[in-house]
Amino acid sequence: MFMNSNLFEPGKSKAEKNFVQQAVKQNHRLDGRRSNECRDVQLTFGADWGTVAVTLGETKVLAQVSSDIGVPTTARANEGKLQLNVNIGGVAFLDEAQSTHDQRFLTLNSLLERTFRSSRCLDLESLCVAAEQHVWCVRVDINVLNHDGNLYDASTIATLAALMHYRRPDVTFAEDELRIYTEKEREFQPLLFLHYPVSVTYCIYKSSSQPIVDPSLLEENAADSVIVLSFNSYKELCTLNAGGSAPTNVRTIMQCARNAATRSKALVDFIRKALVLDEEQRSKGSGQVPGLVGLISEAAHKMSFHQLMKDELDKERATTEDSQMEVDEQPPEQAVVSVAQDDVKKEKPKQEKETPMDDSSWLPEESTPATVPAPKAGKTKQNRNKNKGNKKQHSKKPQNESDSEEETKPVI
Amino acid sequence: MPSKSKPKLSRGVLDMKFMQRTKAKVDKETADEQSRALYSNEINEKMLNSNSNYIVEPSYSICAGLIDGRLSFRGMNPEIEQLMEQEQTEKQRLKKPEQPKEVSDQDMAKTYYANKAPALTSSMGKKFSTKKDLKRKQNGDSDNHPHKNHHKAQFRKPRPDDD
Amino acid sequence: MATSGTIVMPGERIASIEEVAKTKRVILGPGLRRVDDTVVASKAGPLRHKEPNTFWVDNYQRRYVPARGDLVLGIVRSKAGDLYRVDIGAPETASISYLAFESATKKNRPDLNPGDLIYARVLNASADIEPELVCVNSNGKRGKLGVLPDGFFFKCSLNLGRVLLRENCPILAAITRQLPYEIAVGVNGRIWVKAHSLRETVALAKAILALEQAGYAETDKVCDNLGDYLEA
Repeated sequence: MFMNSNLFEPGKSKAEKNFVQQAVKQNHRLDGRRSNECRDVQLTFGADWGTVAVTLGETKVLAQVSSDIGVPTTARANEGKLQLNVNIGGVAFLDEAQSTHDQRFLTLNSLLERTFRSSRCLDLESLCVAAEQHVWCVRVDINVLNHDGNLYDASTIATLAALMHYRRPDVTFAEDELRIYTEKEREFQPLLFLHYPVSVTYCIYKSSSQPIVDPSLLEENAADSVIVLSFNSYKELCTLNAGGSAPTNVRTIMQCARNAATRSKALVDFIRKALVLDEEQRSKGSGQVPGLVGLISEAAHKMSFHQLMKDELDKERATTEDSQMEVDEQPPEQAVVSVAQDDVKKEKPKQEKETPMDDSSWLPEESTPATVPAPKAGKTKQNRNKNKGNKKQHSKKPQNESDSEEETKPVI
Repeated sequence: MPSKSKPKLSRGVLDMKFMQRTKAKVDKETADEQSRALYSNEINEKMLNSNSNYIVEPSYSICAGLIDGRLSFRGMNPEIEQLMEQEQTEKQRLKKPEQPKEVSDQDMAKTYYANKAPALTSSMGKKFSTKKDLKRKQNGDSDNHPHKNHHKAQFRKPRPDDD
Repeated sequence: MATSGTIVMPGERIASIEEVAKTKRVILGPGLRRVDDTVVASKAGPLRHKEPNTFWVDNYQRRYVPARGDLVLGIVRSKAGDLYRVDIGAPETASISYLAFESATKKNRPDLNPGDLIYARVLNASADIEPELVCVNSNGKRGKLGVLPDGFFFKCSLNLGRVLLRENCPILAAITRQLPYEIAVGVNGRIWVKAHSLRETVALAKAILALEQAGYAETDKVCDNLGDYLEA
């Protein structure tokens, strides 16, 4: 498996860059994907709580969650802490990976900070044991095992899955005495979430107006700009990270955002399903968990996005098909779709790509800003194409996005 | 000390003009002596006297006889293809066994001398021959080559088995 | 090229070479080392032998170690005074003087920019100094060396590069049957290809990369697939 791992960084020569530009112009990707097609995502849960390896094509990221009791900051005396630690040193083949000011490392770190900390996805107040004295400090270590593009998505998926998988010991605080229970005494407790954010990455090239999703390392290095959008499962924007030199307009970003929102929701649903599957395995097998061995074993992977989300993808396709009829898509396209019913992987992105820009349909259903959305609410499946955003937000959002390079929009 | 056993030339003598070469030689000897003393504990007898049969070649391309990697096929880059062709013919020429001689070396030499060699060689040869040579030649010539005059240079008819 | 099937491991003493060395001179290639009077392998892999007296270890490797006389593909990194810094996949960047190009003079410098690909020969390689490249042969002619325009470029293992460069390699011949193309293979595990269309170039690159894992037997199959792909 690791035979294929990258040992050199592609995309550093002019020939490669020009070639990728040409390919994108002709709507062609080097690995045969469509411009709106993602690679398969696989999750491997470790034997411990909160250990997850994410495989996104050849990109591999390992996230581990740990926690201990610490003292809160004075400013937020009744909140626990969330600390994110990125280690990119594992991929020594990358240029400048060793230097401390590696741009790649800094962007990844800031993306994770904003996606998970600034957006306050964890219910930090629930991590407080005794105000101003004892709180839980949750620490996530993100180790990059191999980099073949789109480290952002792999890292956010890994972080979210690890946090969702993690169980902390129960603790009581009475008469100035802190007591931490072992797993035998009291069952471990999962962390509480306010919402579940993941990111989706797009690359934009000067030669083409069509952004491509989930870039490989070659595509990422050759790109003129990379846009990373974090959405939560309610399709609310958490982070927007757009830089580079490609002329991006509102239209492109809106198009990306609309697709990213759907994708994020599907990813979170996928993580949930995988967690359920993992739970089943743990309760069934008598304590014997295969753990990360799954990463190197040749056996077919069970927790892959394409496998677990097959039904959803089918449904998704059906709804997009409906909506396409509504907006009156070109008839020949329709024929192709209906012929290749079973081939979800290939047909789905194409439809999305060819859907004309319809600003009214992309906007997520915003929950009222004052109320904190309950975690359970996300499980009801929304039909995104029926959503009609209200006009006010409509005019406000693109403005924000287009004139500032980095934008954080906390949902609470 | 080597100076004790060996007689040493004085500085005054070595500084003389005609002793310059000897001086350089002596200097080199002493320098060698010094360096040998300096590295004596690192260089062992084996390193000094080994006459190795091993040649180290760190390049794969030379060891495995790899070809040049710049290639073009079916008219993609005519310039490169021309170079490839040239190389190919060069290689073929080297590889081909020498063509069988139509005239053997012996025959050639015989005819050559029978012809008394081309005019230029003989005239230039005169310049370097001494009187003694000339005399000896005149005396012995008739003895050594009695049939010289019978061999007249002539064009040889091609035999039917010649190509 | 005779291939003996023996696999050697680092540190293993190879008596068969010592035997040969008693009677004649022996060339020790990469992966072999002389320690006093014994020959010891320093890399793991099959031991190769070429008549009359060359031995080397054909180990799987991806990191290039420069050796004098190798033809390599490099990416120009930067300009530094009279030199260009070139990345050839070695632990250190190589350097190439701007005079090491055809008809280059102090006034007439070659026009190279960061990101350009060059095909060059390693002139000097030693563990302690940075490798030096040239883009001309001993007659001052460019020959096949120089800048590679357009095309597509990718990296592979050093072994794949060497497999393609064997004399009378069946792979390149098999691909030739499918489409016209141009290729530059560096022994540093870098390959540049160019075909008439983008689609063909991609197919070509994929076919060559597919051979990374394939044995010689699978070569024909891969080339047939290539043909099918282009026809489709």
